Amino acid sequence: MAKISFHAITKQYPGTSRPAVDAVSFDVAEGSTCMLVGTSGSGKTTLLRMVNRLIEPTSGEIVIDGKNVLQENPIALRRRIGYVIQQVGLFPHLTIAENVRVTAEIAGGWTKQRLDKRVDELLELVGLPPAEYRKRFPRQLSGGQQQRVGLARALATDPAIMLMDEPFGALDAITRERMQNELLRIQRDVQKTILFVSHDIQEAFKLGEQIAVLDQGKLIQLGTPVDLLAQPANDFVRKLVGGDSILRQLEYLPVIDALEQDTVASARGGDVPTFLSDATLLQAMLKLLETNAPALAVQDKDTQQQLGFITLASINREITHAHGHKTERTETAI
Amino acid sequence: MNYLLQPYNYDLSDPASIPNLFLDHLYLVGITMLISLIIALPLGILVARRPRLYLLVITIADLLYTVPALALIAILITITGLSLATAIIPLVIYTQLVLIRNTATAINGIDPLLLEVGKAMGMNPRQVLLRVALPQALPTIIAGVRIATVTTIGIAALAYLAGQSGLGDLIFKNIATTDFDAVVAGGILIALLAVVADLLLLAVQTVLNRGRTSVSLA
Amino acid sequence: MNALLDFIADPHNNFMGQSITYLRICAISIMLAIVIGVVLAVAVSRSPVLSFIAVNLSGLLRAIPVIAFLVAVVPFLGIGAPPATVALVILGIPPILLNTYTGIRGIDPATIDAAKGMGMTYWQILTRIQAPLILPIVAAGVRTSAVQIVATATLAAITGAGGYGAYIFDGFNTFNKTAILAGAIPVAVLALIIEVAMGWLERALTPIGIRREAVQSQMVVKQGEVAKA
Repeated sequence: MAKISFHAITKQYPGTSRPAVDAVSFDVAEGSTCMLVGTSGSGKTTLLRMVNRLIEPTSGEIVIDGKNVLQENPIALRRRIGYVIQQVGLFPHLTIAENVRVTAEIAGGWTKQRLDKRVDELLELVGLPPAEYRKRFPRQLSGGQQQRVGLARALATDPAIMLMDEPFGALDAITRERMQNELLRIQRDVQKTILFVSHDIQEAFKLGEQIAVLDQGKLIQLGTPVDLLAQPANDFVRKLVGGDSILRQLEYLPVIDALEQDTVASARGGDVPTFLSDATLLQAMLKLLETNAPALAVQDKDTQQQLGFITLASINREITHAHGHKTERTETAI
Repeated sequence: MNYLLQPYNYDLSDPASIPNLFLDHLYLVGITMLISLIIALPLGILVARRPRLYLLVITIADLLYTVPALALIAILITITGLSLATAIIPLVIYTQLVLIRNTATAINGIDPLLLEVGKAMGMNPRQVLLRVALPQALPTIIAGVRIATVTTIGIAALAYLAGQSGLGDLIFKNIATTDFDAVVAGGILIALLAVVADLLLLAVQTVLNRGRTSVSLA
Repeated sequence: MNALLDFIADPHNNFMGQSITYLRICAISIMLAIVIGVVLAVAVSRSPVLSFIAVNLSGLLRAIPVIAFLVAVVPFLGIGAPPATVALVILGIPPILLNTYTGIRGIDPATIDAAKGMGMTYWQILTRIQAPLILPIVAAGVRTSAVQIVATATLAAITGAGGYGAYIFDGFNTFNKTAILAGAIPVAVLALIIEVAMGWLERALTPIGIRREAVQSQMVVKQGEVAKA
C-alpha cells in the first residue's frame, strides 16, 4: 500500500540559476526499492527530502497512495515514513532501546508492554541481541552497529515507506557490504517501498530493482540495472554505470542476451552442459572455462525449454556490441 | 573546632546562631542565582550563534568579573548604602560571565542534525524542544550553574560588609576580637556548603549528561 | 572627588606606602606562584599518578572559597604581610599549574617526534617547539592567577596584611566613604589593567598559526575558574 509518484516535481532555491530538481516525474512501485544515483549536486538528496517535506517543492506533486503529500499535515506524514541518513543521528542521551522506541513514542498510542516487545523484535531483526544492546548508549557502538539501530528506529512504527540517504556511505567497505546484505534480508521480510540515495553504483546495482539516474536536477534515465547497462540513455549514464567495464557487464547481463542458435555445438546435440536462463554471462563464462565445453545449452528457468546455446564467442560478441540493441528479455534476477 | 561543637551556637531563637546564619546564607545564594538566571539565560540564548555580539557581551562580563568583590561592594556602599541590593548586585554580576558563556556554548552545541532527525521522524516543535534540544543543552547550562553557585557561596560571605547576615558574619564579626575559633568555624561552614553544593550539582549534571562522556570532578 | 584627592595627598594616610605594600605583596605572590606552579607542573607531567594528585588537589583548592581559605590559615600562619603572602601564593598556584600541565599534555607527540626526527636537541625542542606552544596557555593561567591575587590581597587586609584593603576596612569601620573609595578604586583599576595587559600578552605570545585554538583552550580553562575573592 505505498506507491510513490512524482509529478513534475521541481525545487528551485532562491538566487540560483537552475533548479536543484527539475520537473522530475516517475513512479516507485509498492514494495520495491528504487535507487537514486548521480553525482553530487545532481539533486538526488533534495528529491528524497521532498518526500517527507523536510524540503518543500517549488512546484509539482508527490503522490503517495493517491494522496498529494503537500496537502497533508507534515508531522503526520513524517510519522508514517521511515528516515535513515548517513550520519545516523542517534540521540546521544538515550539508550539504544530508547532511541528505537522514540519514533513510536512520539506518535503515541502504544502501551509500554507493546513498545518493549517491539524494541526487542526490531533489535533482533537488525542483528543486535536485545539483552546485550538495549541498555547501551550510542557512543558505545561502532559505526555499523549505530546504523543498525538507525534502521531499527526507522522501522519502529512499521512505516510503509523508507527514505534512505546514503545510509552506508560512512562505513568501511566490509561493514558496508554486510549492511547491504542485511538490508536485502530485512527487505525480504518487511517489503517496504524504499527510496534510497546512493553515490555508489555498485550498491545501486545490488540493492535496487529500479535505478533513477539524476544529473543537474533532471531525471536522465529510469530503469533496471540491466536496462542501464545494456541501454544507457546517454554517455553520462554509460560512464556512471560503468558500461565500459567488461566485468560489470559480465556480472549483470543475462545469458539470454548472448544466445545463438546455429553453432557447432548445436550440431552435437545434448553433449554440452545445460544452463538456466536467469544466469549471468559471468556465470556462463566461468562454467565454460571450468568444463572446457565448447558451448552451454540454455534452458528457460521455468519451462525447461531449450532456448539456444552460449559460447565464449557469443559472450564476446554481446559484450563488444552491448550498446544499442535490445532483445526481448525476461525478468532479471540480480 | 570548639565553636562548631558548642550547643548554644545552634540555638534557633538566636538570629546569630549557626543554623540561622546558614539559612540566611542560603537565602542570599538562592536569590542571587534566581536573578542571575533570569538575566543570563535570555542573554546567553541571544548571543549564541552571533559571534560579534557574543564577544562584546563576554568581554564586558569578563571585565566586570575582574573587579574584585571587595572593591565592588565598597564602591556600591557609597551609592546604595548598607542594603540587600549592595550585597546582591556584585554576586549577580559575578555569575554572569560563566552563566552567559555556558548558556551560549550549550545552545551552540545543539547538533542541527539531531534537530532535523527529530523533525524527520515526525516530532512537533514542542517534542523537538523537550526531547532533542533541551537534553543536549541542559548539562552544559547546569555545569555553569554549578560553577556560579559555588562561586556565589564563597563571595556571599562579603554580604556582611553590606549589612546582610550570612555565614560571613562569623568571620568578620570575630576577626576584630581575634576570636579565631569562630572565624575558622565560619570558613569551614562556607567551604562545607560550597563542597556540598558542588557535589549535589555535579550529581545533577552527571544524571543529565547520561550517555555522553563523563564530567570532570575538578 | 576632591575629597578623594585630598585623602591621597594627605601624608597622614601614607597612600604611597600602602600602595608599595600592596603592590609588593601582589608582585611577590605572583612571581612565586608562577615559579612554583610551572616547576610543579613540569615535575608531575611525567608521572600519571603525581599528575592525577596535582590536578585534583588543584581543583579541590579552587572549590574552596577564598575567604574561607584566608581565615583558615590564620591560626597556622598568624597575622601580617608574610602569612598573607603565603596564602596568596598557595591560591595562585592552581590556575598556573593546571594550565601548564594542560599545555604540556596538549602538545601532539607527533610534533615532538618530528622535531627529534629532524635532529633537534633536547634544548632546541624545549625552546623552539614546546615553549611557543605552551607559553600562551601558561600566560592564560598567570592572568587568572594574577587577577585573583590582586583581588584577594585586598581581602587579606582583614588578617592585617595592610595595603589598599586596609583603607576599605578602616572606611567600613569609621563610615568614611572617601577612605573606602581610596582603597576600592585603585584595586579595581589595577585588576582591570592586569586583565587587559595579560590578555594582550597572551595573544602576543600565541603563534599566529594556532591563534584561534589557543583562545578556545583559554576559554576551556577559564570555565574551571571557581575561586573569586
